[in-house]
Amino acid sequence: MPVFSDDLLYSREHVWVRVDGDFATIGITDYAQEKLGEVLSVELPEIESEIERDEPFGTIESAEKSVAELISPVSGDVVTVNEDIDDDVGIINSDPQDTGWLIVVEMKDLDELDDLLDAKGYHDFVLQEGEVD
Amino acid sequence: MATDEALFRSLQERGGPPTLRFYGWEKPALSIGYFQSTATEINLHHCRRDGMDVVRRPTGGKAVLHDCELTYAVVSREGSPFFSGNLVENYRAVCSCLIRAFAELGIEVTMARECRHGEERGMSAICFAFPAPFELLSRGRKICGSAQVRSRGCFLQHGSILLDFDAEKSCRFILPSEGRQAELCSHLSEAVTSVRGETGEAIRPEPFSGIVQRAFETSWNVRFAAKELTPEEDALKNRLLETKYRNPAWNLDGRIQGDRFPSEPFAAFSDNLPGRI
Repeated sequence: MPVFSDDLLYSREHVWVRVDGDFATIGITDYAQEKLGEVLSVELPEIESEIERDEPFGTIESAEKSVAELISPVSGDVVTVNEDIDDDVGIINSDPQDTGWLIVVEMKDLDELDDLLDAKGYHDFVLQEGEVD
Repeated sequence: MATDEALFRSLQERGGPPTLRFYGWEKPALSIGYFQSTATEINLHHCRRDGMDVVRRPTGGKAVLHDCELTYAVVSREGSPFFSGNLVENYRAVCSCLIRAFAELGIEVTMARECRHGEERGMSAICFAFPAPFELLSRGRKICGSAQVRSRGCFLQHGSILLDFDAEKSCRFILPSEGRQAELCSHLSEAVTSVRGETGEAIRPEPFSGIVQRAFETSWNVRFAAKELTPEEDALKNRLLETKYRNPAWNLDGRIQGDRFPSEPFAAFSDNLPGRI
């Protein structure tokens, strides 16, 4: 059963956001990592690169030989990338919504957050996909 | 490869029915997975010496020598009448159709239940050295390798159906662990089969693609209509050829300036026809 943390916002592309002022920490949801299976490789943007809402900012390959593009929930500049993933990509599976975070973005438009879902809204959204009790 | 990605991107932007596409290669070529390293997993020296093109796929998985085979591609939205949003179920849906096609030739094919890793034997760079779950086996030997890319509720799955197989040739272009070429070759011969290996008879790609198409139509109770690429898909394909799939920076190093995730189409080209429902 995936975890839906109340302190996060969620996109319909299965990415979570933790907001701290103008900064957004971003990762994939527990639901997404369950769907993906064992993560083998991750490609993330470089620090200072610019990402756009609804555009891919990286990729993940799982053991099922599937590459999933990561769709950004916000626009902004990448200020930090989780270097711990280089040492152990497994934390994306084991702790996706905390230590398995991916990037921190300095947001350009905080209004973009209005389109994201809270934990209950995201839970209802994935329920519609039919794979969560 | 550019056509596959153009169909995938176009579906994300514009929607549309699922597409089933078959294609071959003008000459044998090596396709490698999105995350593979040509430095450590591919024998570039042999590829260059023998004029073997290397192309990096937008999908995952490992290296495939496209020689005596049929390449298929399926592009669809997830959550369509034929596919769920579940990665594994989508693999299963496509592979069920392929199993039906193999049965037409009298080949009994099953889906692998678990991943058989090849790392410990130095085979991990080769797609056909070990099956991922739900890949296709005949008598326990891999006969078709597939991989996916997913984005924005759509997926592209393409794969290589082996009509014949030359283990030595595959090994020549893919790097094994130091000094283990003979072992790798022997293992690969045991782990892989082909239509010819199972039936003793050669089959050309074209008639087999017809069998596969009919298998999809029967399984889904639909008819495919042959369609050319739309002008937008053509344009995007051309741009992808120019910036990505004919670009050594992408094919060899996985690096590219812009267009890594293209969404805006441009100018034109055409070869194999996709079939749409």
